[in-house]
Amino acid sequence: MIEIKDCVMRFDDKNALDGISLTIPEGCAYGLLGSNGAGKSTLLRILSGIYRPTSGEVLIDGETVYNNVKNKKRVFFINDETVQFVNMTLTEMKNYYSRFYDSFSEELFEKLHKAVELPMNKRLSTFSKGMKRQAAVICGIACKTPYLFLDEAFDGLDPTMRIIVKQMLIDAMLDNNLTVIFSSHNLGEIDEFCDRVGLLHSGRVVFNRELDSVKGNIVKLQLAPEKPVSAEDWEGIEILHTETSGSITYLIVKGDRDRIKEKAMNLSPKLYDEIPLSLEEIFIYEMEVLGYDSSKLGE
Amino acid sequence: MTALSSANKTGFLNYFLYKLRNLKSLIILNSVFALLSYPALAVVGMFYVNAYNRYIEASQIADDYVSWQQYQTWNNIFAMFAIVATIALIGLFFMGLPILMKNFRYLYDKKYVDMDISLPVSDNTRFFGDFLSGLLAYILPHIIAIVMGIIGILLCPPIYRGSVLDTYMLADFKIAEITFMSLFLQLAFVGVLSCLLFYCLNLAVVSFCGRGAEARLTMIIINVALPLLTYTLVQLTEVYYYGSETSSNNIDAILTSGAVSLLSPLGMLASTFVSWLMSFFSEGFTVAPLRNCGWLVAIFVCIVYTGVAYFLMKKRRNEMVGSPYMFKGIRHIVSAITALSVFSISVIFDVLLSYDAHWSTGRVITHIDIDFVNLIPAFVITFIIFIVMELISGKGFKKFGFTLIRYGGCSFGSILLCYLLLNSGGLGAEYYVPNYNDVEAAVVSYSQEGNANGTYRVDNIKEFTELHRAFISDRETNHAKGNIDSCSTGSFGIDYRLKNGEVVSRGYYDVDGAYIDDIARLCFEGNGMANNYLPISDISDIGYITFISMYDTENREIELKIPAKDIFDAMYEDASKMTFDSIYHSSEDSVVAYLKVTWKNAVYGSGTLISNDYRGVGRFEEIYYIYPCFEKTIKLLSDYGIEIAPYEVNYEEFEKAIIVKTESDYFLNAFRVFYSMSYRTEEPGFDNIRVIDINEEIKELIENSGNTVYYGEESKPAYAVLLAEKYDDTGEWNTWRKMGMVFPEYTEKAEAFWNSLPATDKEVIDEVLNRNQG
Amino acid sequence: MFDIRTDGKQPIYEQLYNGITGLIASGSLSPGEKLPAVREIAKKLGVNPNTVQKAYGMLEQKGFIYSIPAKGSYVASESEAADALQKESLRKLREALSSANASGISKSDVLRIVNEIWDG
Repeated sequence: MIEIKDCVMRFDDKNALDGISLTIPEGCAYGLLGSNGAGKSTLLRILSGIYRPTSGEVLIDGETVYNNVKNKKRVFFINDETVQFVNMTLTEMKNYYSRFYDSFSEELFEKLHKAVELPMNKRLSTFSKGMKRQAAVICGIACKTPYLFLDEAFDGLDPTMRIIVKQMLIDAMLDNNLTVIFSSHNLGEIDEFCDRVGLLHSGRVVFNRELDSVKGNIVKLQLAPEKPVSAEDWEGIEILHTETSGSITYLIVKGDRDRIKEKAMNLSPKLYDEIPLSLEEIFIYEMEVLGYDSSKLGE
Repeated sequence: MTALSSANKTGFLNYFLYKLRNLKSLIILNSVFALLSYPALAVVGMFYVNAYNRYIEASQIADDYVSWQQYQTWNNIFAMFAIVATIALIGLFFMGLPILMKNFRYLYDKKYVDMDISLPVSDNTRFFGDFLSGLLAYILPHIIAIVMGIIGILLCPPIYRGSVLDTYMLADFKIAEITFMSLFLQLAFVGVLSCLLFYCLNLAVVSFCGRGAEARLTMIIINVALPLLTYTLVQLTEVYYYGSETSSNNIDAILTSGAVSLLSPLGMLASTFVSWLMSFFSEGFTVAPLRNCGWLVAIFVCIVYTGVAYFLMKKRRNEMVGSPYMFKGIRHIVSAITALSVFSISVIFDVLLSYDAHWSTGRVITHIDIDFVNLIPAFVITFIIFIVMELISGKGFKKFGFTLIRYGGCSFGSILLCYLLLNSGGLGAEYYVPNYNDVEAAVVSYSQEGNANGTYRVDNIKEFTELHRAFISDRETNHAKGNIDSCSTGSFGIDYRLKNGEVVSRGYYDVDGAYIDDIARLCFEGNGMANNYLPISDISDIGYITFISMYDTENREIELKIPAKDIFDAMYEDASKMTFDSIYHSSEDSVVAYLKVTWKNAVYGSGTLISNDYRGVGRFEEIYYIYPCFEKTIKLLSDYGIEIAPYEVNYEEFEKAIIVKTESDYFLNAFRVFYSMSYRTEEPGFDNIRVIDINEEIKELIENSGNTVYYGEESKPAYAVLLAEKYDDTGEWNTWRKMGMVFPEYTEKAEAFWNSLPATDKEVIDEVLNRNQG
Repeated sequence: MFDIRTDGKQPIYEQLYNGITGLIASGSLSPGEKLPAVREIAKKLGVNPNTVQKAYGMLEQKGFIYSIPAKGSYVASESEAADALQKESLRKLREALSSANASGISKSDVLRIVNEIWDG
């Protein structure tokens, strides 16, 4: 289990992480979301023992990670670059990790390797970006660490590769109770695969919940009310976004599903529809509330 | 996984071996350099020295073409190997950098931070694993090559030492095998030590840098600045204060000091080179860094640098990799060091340009100013370096204003520091005179322009230190404002050897004659004079003693068969009877002979005389003057068949006499007076030289004159008399041409005589002078 | 077997749930038949095994399937399955009728449709 309590990470004159508290249970696939600069990579690096937090507590299975060899052996970090491997062959890369991770399994590596069909003795500089990523992932999974962190790791993977990697992860999750954290911009990926999601913004946690409950909690209403809608009609429900087009009003609301329905029915709408939102839409609307312009997304 | 293999995987050995394997290609390159350097050089060197020795011996007998040719061949081969070996040694030395940079890449290369730091090894494993594997890769090939070189030397045929019984002189020139081996070992040891220093120092530098470009630039700056500053700052402090005896030409003294040779690799190499140059292949020679267990200090310094690196790495934040420096303020420190390096050299040049060396009358005694105009090159160079640093930081000129402020601050700060050091009086040395109780022996040497000089062991140290102190505090009046002609200035130097072994030396120039007078008198009190005739080391260490005659050109040097003890006893007794007058009021020429004592082994001045010979090489010879009043010694020599004939004037040899009028001073030396006057014949109204035929009056004056005479005051005239030879072809201007300064009590007579003479025509003077000047 | 749309609109476990119940209803999955392992489905569809686990859990709760530890999950017996299905359909019916009511459809319209389906 990963426990983060009031973690602050200070860079120069600003806080990349401004007092984060999160708990990530074992065995889950966790999606870490956030705009650029939100603090995702920073958090992952703290969890991997690369950075030391300025203050606060970051524990994996009850122990800190920084300079803790025992704990570091249970964590594998795949970052979003591939340039550091460029002069190694896959064999050398494998040796680099197998030498230091107790739990490395030669057998598993072979199995994974067969699935991806990458050459063992050619330098990684000859690989495509996707192949480089795959190389990193199979090394990571072969290490059989209980925790695997991937920083934007699906970039550059074509759909076939993506499925292969996902299948590898699924096996690991089922066989070894792997806890995997994905940090990504690609909400589709997260949506598809993660069962818990956390959104970071400006170094703070916006939400951290099971994905289903995130989705279950936020819904898009399409209704044609009898009379124009006012704020009191929606008391107790958080409205993230309103849009009116002719006689139809679209509302993005957040709250308990039943109560939402109740309130909606009170308006005796001629038309009423509940439309589930994609994670991307939820992301956009939540950020809007925070004042983050959607046109800036993806920077 | 069993517990054993688990421990093994995190283990130090695992990591260490991995990093070592990683360095494979660099190890191979390093080994190539190593093999091309020591082993080849050692073996070829042996053959070369062999040929050299043979050639030296052969050439003593007759010109031997065969041995010369062999020598030349080996000379060329050796030169070739030397060039290759030098390049290889340079490569061997600098290999430390790529090794260091490869092993510690996560310190300055952002792309490796994630991969290397997330690896499950502890901080200590990582640091020591990287440090030791790099060190091994760097030093081991080096050491193996040295061992191979040693084996090569031992396997070579022994160096030819000569089949003829060598006299000592011959032995001096040949290079002994022991010497060669010793030198080789010393240079090899220094080579390894400097590599060690190089590695540890640069590691310390990289540990506070966060970016490749800054790391490399800072390494260059620190490697150059460290020896440079240890040299320049010492020079600024030690060389220019009042009384400093470290002449600015004694670069070697500072260069071979501990600070320069033990703190930085380039400093160590420079110091080794300089000290080697100064005593090429001498026996018993030690290169500077190895003296006084310097190597222990160097190793300690390496440990300190490593400790600094370790400490900084623990403190550093991995998220900062990618920014130029890891800690605030480092940028300022590096800038300051750069500026100080450039400006300290420049200020030294300025001082040299603006103030002549000690000997001029412009000698500064109050304080030293800095002329900013001379510093312009330094301003420019420093500015350029700052621009370069700005450019490589890759941030463009966004915050250039701050850079300019830093430039200004560092520049003026450096100048201020240099100014303060220059005027610090050697940090107190200027006013320091040791307490007489702490002094074991003192030797003073003085000279006055054209006149008295001598080196004497001071007997009355208490009084001398008082004199010294008064002299320092009185410095404004110490220095004559007169011109050279009046011979009113002199210089003196004093070496105190303290009971704790320390040596304190001072030297003063343009000193008023009155002080020289005081000093000279002090030298003759008590046993002052006699103590100069004690052997400086054990008598049993004497190789042989040579007698050198002043006058006898045919039998100039004779090796004495007299027991050394007898000679020294006689000299001591004679010297005890010497007085001030016997030197400065003697009608016989002062020195009649020299005794040269040659020691078997180098002497380092332990004993009664002081040696502050920093070169680490001892002296083999010592000279003792025999004066005409040395009755016992002269008798002793006579008993053993060596006659010291006093010089008798044979007036038949001489054609004319010359009398010279000059202004008086404390001491006057006939040779110098005559010499300086003879150049002034062109001056209008010049009437100081008169030429006359030899008569009784001149003869009387000649009989009552001496080489260097004490007058004790200025403003009265004094007279020099010279006998000019009948024309001959020797053209030598020697002191045994009879000449002298007329004694003070005969000045009146000389004056009367002068007044009776008409002025001499210039042509006549020139004719006589030309003959005698040759 | 069936398609999962991963455009994010409907939670995946819901889609799975509906998909499997649909298969049981249509008879493609017979009572007592062994369901594919969680792993298999997850890998085939590229979804989180926990999600699949969740769906299976819901199915079991509603009575559509039962699982034997270490062996797998099986479609419930005909009667149990039928029960579960009915319950499910009723639930959906209630929802649809509420919606219709809210949108103003008349009762007579609804009854007409009921007759069509049950009689014709």
